[in-house]
Amino acid sequence: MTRIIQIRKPHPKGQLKRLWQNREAVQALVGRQFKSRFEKPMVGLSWMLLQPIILAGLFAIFFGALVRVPSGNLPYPAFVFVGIALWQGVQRALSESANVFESAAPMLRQTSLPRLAPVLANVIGASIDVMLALIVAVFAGLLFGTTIGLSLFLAPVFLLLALIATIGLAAALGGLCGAWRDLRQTIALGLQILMFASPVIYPSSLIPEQYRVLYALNPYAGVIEGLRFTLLGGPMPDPLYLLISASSAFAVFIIGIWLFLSLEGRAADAL
Amino acid sequence: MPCNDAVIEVVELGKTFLLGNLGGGRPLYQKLGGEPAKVRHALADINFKLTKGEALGVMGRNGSGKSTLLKVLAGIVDPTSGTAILRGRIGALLEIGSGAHPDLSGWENMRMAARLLGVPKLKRQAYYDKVAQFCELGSKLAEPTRWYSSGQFARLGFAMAAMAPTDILLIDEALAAGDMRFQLKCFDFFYRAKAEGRSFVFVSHALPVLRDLCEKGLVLHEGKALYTGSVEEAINCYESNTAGN
Repeated sequence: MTRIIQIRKPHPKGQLKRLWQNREAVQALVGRQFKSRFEKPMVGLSWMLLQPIILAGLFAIFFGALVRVPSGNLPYPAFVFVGIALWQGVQRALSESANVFESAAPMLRQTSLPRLAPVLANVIGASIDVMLALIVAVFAGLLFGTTIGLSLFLAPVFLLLALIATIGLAAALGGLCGAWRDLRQTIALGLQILMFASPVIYPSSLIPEQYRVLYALNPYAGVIEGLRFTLLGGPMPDPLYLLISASSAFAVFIIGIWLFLSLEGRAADAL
Repeated sequence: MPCNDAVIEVVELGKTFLLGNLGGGRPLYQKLGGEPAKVRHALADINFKLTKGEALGVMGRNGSGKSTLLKVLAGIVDPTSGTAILRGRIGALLEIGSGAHPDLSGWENMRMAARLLGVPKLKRQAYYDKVAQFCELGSKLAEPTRWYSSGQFARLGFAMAAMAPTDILLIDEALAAGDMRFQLKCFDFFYRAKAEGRSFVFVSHALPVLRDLCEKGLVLHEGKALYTGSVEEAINCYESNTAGN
């Protein structure tokens, strides 16, 4: 129980151990966040499903029916629903985490909880939304005539990759925007760019072959293609590109955590 | 290991803040030849030791670094030099209400606090009972804390921090709110907790209180220690320093 307080160097192993010891605190944070989102409800929990349904419907009309974005052998509404379901969660986790040193300040000022805990809570909270929305996406797909097969059991692998990449990105943004608050101005723009760099509303087969390796460096490229493959019976993604996306997810995770641990001291000075 | 009975050992602890928008100005401009970041020394070269069951009173004028010292000890802000070794579980009560969430009820805040402060599962019920008994808020505990008076809010916060199983408790001006009766209750708690071997660091301007509760004293002035030693001497030093200025 001895704690030594001195100049902090990034010490990922110790920090992750402390996070694990404080897992119940993370759980409590997720619960509190969830509760405060649905406090004083007008519609309540249905928002979690209504939002992706409405957005997917909108995209289905504009990009599916009007622009006729190709979606391979999949009906476009189901195709885009999977993309939207994941993207809404990613967007929420990242924009909340960029703000973490402000939104979690009351708690970080009172307890010596690892400062990564609220970041992790943001991502876990958002992944609950994603999971629910994806379940709806599967049923929506069946409605539009997609099939599900044994590949369904591979879906958790892709969800896990999404989780790993998102934790890394959320940590990076939390550290950077905590240390230099003006960076928060760029979050909305950055998220838009990232969305267009991911196959959310279009298939990655639209990307010219010579850029596909570069494109696969975006972890969400592999994740979304993989989810369409497993949840809707879409085409099997190229294993090479999947491998690139998966490695990139782990790289993003490691770099993000390292960035957060190197910058958290600077950010905490404002607490 | 020398001095193993020390629960807190602070050696040459220092903290500097980068001025200029807290991030230390604009690092990109500085790299391109702008002015270097300015720093402020909030704490410099602080040394003290505290043993089991002892209390340290930290005094000093506004802005002398008292709260920064507690924040560093609590692990909320990282020091920029030196070391502090704390043996045991650390609790902190650094602002009134200790982070109670205004939308949650008293009970919900307690449940939250139990998890944040790491109260073991089996001891949770006992913790809730003790907190409820100590803060004496009764049926008010079912209401969101935003409906509490500031005194009631302070009582809940104090009880949540004090009843957690900690060995070292860091308290910043804890008794400022709360009525007379509650203050007496807090005193009683401090004496009993010290007898049980818990240690305290108090930051306060209430010198008679510090004289009663503490064995040791630390006087801070502009981030430096003017005096470290017995509480009597510390109070004399602080009083003459204040009179001198």
